[in-house]
Amino acid sequence: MRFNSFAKSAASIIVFTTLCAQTAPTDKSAQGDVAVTIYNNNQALIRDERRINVPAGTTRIPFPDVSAQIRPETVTLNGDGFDIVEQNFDYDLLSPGALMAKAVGQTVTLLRTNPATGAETRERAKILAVNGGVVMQIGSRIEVLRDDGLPVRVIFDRIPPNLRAKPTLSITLDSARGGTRPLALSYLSQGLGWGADYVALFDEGGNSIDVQGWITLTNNTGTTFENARTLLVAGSVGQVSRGRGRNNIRGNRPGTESADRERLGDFYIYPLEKRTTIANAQQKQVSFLDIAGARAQRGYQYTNGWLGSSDDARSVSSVLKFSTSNEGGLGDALPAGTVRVYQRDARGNAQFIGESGIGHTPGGSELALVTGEAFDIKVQPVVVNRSRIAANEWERTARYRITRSDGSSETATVERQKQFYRTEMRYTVTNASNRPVTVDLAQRGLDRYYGDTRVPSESIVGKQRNADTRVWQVPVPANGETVLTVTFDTQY
Amino acid sequence: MALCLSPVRVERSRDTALHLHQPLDFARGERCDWGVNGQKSLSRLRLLAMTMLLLFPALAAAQSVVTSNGPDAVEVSIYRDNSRGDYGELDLSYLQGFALISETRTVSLPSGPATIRFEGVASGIDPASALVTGIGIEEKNQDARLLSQRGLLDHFTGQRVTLRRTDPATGETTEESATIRSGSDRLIVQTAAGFEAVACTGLNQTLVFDRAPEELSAKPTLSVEVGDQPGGEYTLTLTYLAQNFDWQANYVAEFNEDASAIDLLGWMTMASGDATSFVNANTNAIAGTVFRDQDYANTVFAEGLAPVRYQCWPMATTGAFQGYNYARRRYSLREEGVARGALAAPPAPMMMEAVAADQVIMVTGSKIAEQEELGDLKLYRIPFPTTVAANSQKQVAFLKKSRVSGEIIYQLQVEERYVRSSQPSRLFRMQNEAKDGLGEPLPSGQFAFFQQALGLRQLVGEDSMSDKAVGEEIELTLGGADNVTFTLDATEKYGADWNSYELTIRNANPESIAFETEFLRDPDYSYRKFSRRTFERDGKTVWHTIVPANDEVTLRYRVYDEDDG
Repeated sequence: MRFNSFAKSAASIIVFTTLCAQTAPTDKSAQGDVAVTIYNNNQALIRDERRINVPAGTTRIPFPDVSAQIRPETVTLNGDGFDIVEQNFDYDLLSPGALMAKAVGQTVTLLRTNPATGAETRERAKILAVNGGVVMQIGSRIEVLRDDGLPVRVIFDRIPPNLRAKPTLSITLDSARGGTRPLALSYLSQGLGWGADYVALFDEGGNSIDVQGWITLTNNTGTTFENARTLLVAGSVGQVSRGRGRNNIRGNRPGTESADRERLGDFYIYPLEKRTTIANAQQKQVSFLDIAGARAQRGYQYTNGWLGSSDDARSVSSVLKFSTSNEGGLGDALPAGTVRVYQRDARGNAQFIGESGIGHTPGGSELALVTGEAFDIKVQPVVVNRSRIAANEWERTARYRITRSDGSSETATVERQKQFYRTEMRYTVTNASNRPVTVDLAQRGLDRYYGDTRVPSESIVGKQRNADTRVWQVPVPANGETVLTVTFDTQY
Repeated sequence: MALCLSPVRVERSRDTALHLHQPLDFARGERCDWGVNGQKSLSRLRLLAMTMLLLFPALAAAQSVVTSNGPDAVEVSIYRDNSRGDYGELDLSYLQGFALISETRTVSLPSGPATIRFEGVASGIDPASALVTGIGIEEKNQDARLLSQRGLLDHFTGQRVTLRRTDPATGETTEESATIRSGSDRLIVQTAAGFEAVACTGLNQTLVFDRAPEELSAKPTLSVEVGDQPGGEYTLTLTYLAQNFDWQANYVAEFNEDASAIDLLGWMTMASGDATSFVNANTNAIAGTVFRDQDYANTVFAEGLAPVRYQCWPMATTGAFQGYNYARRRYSLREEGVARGALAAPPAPMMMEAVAADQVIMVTGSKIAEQEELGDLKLYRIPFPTTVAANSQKQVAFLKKSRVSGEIIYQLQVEERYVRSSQPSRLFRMQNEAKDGLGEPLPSGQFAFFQQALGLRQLVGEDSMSDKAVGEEIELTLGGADNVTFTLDATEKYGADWNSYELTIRNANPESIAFETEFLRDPDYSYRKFSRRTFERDGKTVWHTIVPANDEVTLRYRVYDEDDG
């Protein structure tokens, strides 16, 4: 017999009135006053102060709407007049399989619908076992659920209390008195991250840049944080960075100026001005830096590996140089992120000319960012000649003393002539642009344990940057070329 | 927001499972959908709303939401995928370059703080790169919670929806209220009768929602928050980088009769794999190497893309043992699990768009792209507005030069006494100079050489080239040579630390040819006593000679051992 529609809706009205009383604010977050501190290493500290009525005695208090990526071992709860008995993070999730498994030994209602007539029959069944299929006892017979493939509605009377829709944190308290009071929940969570995005508009003629900085934060926790006070810490707490080194790029030098920002230990803190809602699956950007007319200039670099020789000329790296110092620079520390560089085309529209990552950069630093390669400025390194030479030098390889039977002795020394390789390099630097440029050209690989590398001749005076690298500043006229020749004597 | 107010019975709807008629630009506090019985609990709603406003003052200020549907004008600059190298060809299904898109949009704002939503942006937008000028903005947001089967189920978890059953025999539908009690894949609802796993029943059922939640959007959506402002019409510029674009250069070279010059035509092929079309766009291509710094640590992942797969309890049957019964089991699983009788999934609009868009190839070659300098890069501007259509490619000429002089050279590389290839290669060499008829920056790309033979245009060679600046030498390999051969033999003359060799070049062509042999150097030996004049080039010893028609030329040289130290 089918329920008529009126009776059914009447029934649902009654049931839902009572349900609503228990679960009224389901659409609204149960979070209280939320403060979020986000670090750079996919780590965030969340403080959530809720006003909760704690009755006297031992009570289990659920905390819905905590981050789904909570690290439950980091949870602390602060408040007055209670002791914590235990903390639980339940992730026994409500699912058809779990519901059925927990119903073993219990009775459910089966509602069968006749596919031909639509007639419904209702009977009670006891779940005996869930092993591959569901075995039930109906009256005196045993059946496997839906063995015949026909539609059956299985209606459970209740949900076991520890099966939850979402992973849920609950804390059991032993409270001396009853009453509503603030409970401050604090925990670490993954899934929140932040970084900086910089927009740098480079004016090549004016040798200057305008820089806008945006803080970008992302929430992949699965939870929305409502109206949260938000702090961003420029650092990876509890982790020593093995981050991007830029040793190959010349012109980066960390500075020693302090920025006018809040600090936490060694890290800078960037608080967001207003409370904000960090929605789940959201990327949010807030401006934090806006500087016009800082000094900047373009430079060109090329680094040649040892014995690097090429049939074709190679484009040099195009480097944008600027500083974070108060004197003519950005005058601020820069949190790690991505710098996107734009330049205006002939019509005045900003075009993208490349981007580069930066690490946390203190004030007063010199930055050299490689944005791309220069189409018109190239270097062709060529090993013109490489030959063995014997230097007029001898090195002692062994020394020993001979004592004869008559007691006399003699000291002998073994010497070997030093063998050098003489490598003649020719670097042809060409410039097809209509402005003169200077290319910072480096030869690496000069130090291979042997040391004793010599430069008997070079057409432009170079500078030894370190044992391994020698650098020349090669001026190249507009639409012209400069040839640098260098001879190296090495022991390998 | 749906506050649970009273036992409202949701209105019956036979048209669609999703009610999308509600405008999205509604103030947040005003969004509450009541049913027919709603008035009864009005006072309770007021009380609740007041409490909410007290708790969350942010909700009190009615933040207006304005949607900008599309650009008035757009400029697209396409950047090459540098990792593809000079050889790679464009693969429309896997474009790894990118584009800078600059859109001019007009929005009309009421006074006060407002949210502007940008629709119709490229689907491959990198939201962190977005820039908005023309109005002061406080915040930019990219929301990636999608309106989908999963998005709806997750959003309505804990809330009331309508469960609709259709009687397979009569087609009659019945509806009842249900509350979603679990996550989307593990769907369990609570009805008046109790708790049910609706996807496991085998009945024809669906969940009906009373509204599309405003937090869920059809696509990941970029929006900006503007502060207090007087209102009015604003012209904004929205600039962003988007992935899934690429371009490349192709060169067609036509030899003249004696192969001493070519007519050169340069084409650029620009491709978009994006789902959005940019109509009448000012379009540019950027040549040169532009570095990107891909940082995936701080990206947001779209939620709701994965289709829901309903889990059920174990469904083994007593008939499920072997062979053909396996098929039956599969059938019953399919029937119960996802397909028939399961909850209807909303259509995926993006997929439909992708299928609808053809891969159109447009050739608009009558006008030539203009080249200009952009810092250390080269910008090619298409001189007329053009449409960068979704999933399409187009070709535009950017270079046209006639009678570029050059020469055909046969070449061989020798290392001590070994030849690096079994036959000489045939090259075309030209100088990128105005006096030779060229003198233009040439972006990397592929060359195809053609020559007339028997009154037909024939392909005579293919090669690729890296970026070439003005003034550089360009050398392209046409292929191997069969009519020009060589022999390299040791002669009977030798000394204590030297051997002598003889290299003979034979030309079976009826015209004379230029032939070059490159001797590669090494510190362990040295070449001496060449019988003909040589010179140094790029660190190699080069012998350049002319081999007359149907004739041969011989070179003798010695190799001295230097490895005596």
